[in-house]
Amino acid sequence: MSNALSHPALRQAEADLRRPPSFWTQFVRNPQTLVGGIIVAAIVLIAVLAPILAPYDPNLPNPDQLYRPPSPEHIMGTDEIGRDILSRMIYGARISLTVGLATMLLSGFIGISLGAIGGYFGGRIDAVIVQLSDTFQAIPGLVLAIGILAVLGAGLSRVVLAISLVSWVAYARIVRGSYLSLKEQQFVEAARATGVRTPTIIVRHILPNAIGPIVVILTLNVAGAILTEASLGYLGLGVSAPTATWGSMLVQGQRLIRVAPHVAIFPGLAIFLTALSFNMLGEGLRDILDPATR
Amino acid sequence: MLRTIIRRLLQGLVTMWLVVTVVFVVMRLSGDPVEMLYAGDPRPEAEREKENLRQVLGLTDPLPVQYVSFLAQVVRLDFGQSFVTRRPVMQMIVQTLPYTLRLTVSAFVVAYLIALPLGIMVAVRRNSWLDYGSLVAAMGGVSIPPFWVGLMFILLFALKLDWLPASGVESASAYVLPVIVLAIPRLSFMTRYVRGVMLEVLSTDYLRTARAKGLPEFRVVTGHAVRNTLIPIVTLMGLQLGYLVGGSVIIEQVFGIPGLGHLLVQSIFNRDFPVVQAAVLILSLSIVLANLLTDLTYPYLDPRIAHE
Repeated sequence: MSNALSHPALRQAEADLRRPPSFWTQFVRNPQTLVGGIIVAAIVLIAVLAPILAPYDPNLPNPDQLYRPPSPEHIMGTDEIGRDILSRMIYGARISLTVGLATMLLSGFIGISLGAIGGYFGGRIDAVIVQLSDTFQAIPGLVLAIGILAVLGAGLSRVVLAISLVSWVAYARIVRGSYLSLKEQQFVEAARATGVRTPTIIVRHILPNAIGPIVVILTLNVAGAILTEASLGYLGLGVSAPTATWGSMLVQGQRLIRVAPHVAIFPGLAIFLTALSFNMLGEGLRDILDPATR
Repeated sequence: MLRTIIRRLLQGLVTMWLVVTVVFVVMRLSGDPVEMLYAGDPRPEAEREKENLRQVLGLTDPLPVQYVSFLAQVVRLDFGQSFVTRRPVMQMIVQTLPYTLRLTVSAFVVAYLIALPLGIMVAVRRNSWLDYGSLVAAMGGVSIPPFWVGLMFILLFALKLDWLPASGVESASAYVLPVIVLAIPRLSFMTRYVRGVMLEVLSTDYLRTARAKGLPEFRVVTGHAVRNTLIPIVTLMGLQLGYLVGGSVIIEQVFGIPGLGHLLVQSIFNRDFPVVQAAVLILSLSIVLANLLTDLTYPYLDPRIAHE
């Protein structure tokens, strides 16, 4: 005789009784969000506490200590003008995180607004937004960012602007898709019937229901922006010298690769670890918030 | 079918026109390239030279006139002269193209040759050690900065072990490191993507039918699943090529390959705007063209699209 619980209706009823575990329970249980989250938190802490943690002034040259290999005094060694690499790495975290988070906010704002407007209203305005997305997707992001910075000149806010202009499309596509399906749902119809204003419906009623995939892209966007910033810094189009950025430290490292390979090794590791932790966090959040696309 | 092709061709043309416009707007928003070129020039005759150059470049015309003549230039693939070398821009670009093509096309082939079989294999062996291992490796591969991998490879394989050249284009072996480095992020992304698509296909009803009628699992995978996995993968090809083209700009810099990306970066430093503009445009248009070609191919791969 078969188990009584194997009947589909009963199984469904049982599943309904069992409440799904809360977000934070899932967050801690998922190895990707847990590990990624811890590393991200650590990097944020390092960036915030940079003045306390850094053993030396990151921009102070020391002519007696030129490209020394790692030693107890300088754990990661010194660069070509004798600056302490560990201290520069710690301050570099501030630039990378600032670029990552600022880009996330700006490109998120552009992409989510355009996606929501296109998806909700449809019609001609939607067609224009879709065509715009296609165009920006067609241009290799890094090439366009290089082009923009080549004419704007370097600098932190310009780097953020350039990376944002090439990374909003991912948001726009996802958000548009969510709005296309959500606007047909009954809760939106109910809101419309009771006379809620359209902007309120778009922002207060629909957006919270589309937030899962958005959070995933926000997180992955930070990783992408940090990698792009490093690439631009490597091409000399990043935040201006002598500010310590991981990308610009790598350029130095390349010049010194024969005599002092440690100069190139550490900043690359930092970029890798930071991008990896945000990517892990993002993919883990996808498992939790957006299981359909897993 | 013919109507679909014509519609896609028209869409592609519109996208190309918009790309050209975006590049024009970006380049003109920057202000006066002549001023930048002569920045800090103390000579008294600099003012007159600037005025002459502006006339020659057509920068004194009203913007709509500049835009139309720019469009005309693009259509004729004539981008004027380089500020620095005084040679025709198009000639300089054509010279660099073979290097960039060799690099990106090889990386594209390497990435797909590994990602396709690997992604399919790990999807079939889901939750095996191979599956977990490649997922972890793929996560690393999309997070690692390519130019840093390049530097580390040069350090290890060229300087320490002396197996391969650190830079240059003199021999085929000089391309080994740059091609691998350029392929890593794409390979990682595609492996995950192929795995995802394959898992979806493997859970469809028609595959259950294939198994139910007694087809051996190997035939189910190779005969039915793989073919249906190809469509979404082909769709992504243009986008992947775009990432490769963007990545090649950096990789050419790391390995000293005199390709289009290298020319682009040098021209930015020299404030050689006609070359920058043309290089950005050629790189972008090649991607639009690649996307258009993919769009036109997949009705042949997927008869369902052709019958729409």
